[in-house]
Amino acid sequence: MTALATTVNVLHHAFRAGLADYREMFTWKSWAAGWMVRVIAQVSFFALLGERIGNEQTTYYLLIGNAILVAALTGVFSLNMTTAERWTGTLPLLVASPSSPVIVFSARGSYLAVDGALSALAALFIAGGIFGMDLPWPRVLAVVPLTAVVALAAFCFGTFLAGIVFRFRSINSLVVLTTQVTLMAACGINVPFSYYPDALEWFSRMLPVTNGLLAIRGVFDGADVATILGNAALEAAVAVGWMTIALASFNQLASRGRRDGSLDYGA
Amino acid sequence: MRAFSAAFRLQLRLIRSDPDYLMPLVTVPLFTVTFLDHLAESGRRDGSIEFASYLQDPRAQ
Repeated sequence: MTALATTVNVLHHAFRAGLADYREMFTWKSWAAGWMVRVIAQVSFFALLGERIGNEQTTYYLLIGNAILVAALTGVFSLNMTTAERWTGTLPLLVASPSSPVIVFSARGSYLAVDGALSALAALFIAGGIFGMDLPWPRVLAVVPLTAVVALAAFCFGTFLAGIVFRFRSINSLVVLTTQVTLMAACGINVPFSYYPDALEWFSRMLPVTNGLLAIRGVFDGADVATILGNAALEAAVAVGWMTIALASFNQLASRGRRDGSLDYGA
Repeated sequence: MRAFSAAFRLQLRLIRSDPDYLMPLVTVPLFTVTFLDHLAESGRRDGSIEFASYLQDPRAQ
């Protein structure tokens, strides 16, 4: 078996393991009546805040931003994969195996990117309908692939963070929460970039969500195709960039853990 | 004073052994910035002041 075929085989099995995990967590009923209700409530909370303090425009701005944020928050959860492997006691075995752990973690957690994109789109269209937001047909269909790119970028960023957590396991929860709140505060979710200092805008552009959200807002605002595609390409570049950094750093961090014996069992 | 400094040192040690204690220190300011952004950007600086006062003393509202 060639190296590529072996990698594809590992990716395939890790993805199936991830799907099996997910099926244990949710059924269709608990996903729709539990998880989605929570997501729509969160998006509606911000939309109601916009209605209370601003106008229709503010409401829709907050609704779109916070619905798309769901894709990113879910994608970033992929960094919990290392903790899950530690809990189940399979982490040292993974590190000792000939395959790179990052391949297993990224494939096993990739269902989160799919889940994030689906959750965000459902929240956007359901909450959008509830609040009477205009969904321009057929332009609005462009939001579907754009949300997928946002979820993918967040997932790649989460995979990079998984390497950090892999090495410094005690900061797992701190990293998850700080990342989520930072994305919420800095990525143009709640206020436009004109409100931020220039330096913060540059920082935000390197994070997932920012560029993809600008592309999605462009779809709703009737921006020209070149602007939308430009922002989408930047979001895809952010995804590739974070995954490249993850691939480059993960094995080094794992090797250090192997040297100092910190890849033990338990949380 | 000795009890205060001993308690402070103990808490620092706890934070070092479990960094999750730092979560409110990191997240509360960012959440505050997020919500004040809403108010200030909507031109509701009166609301920002009310919200900031509320954070200082919720019972005064």
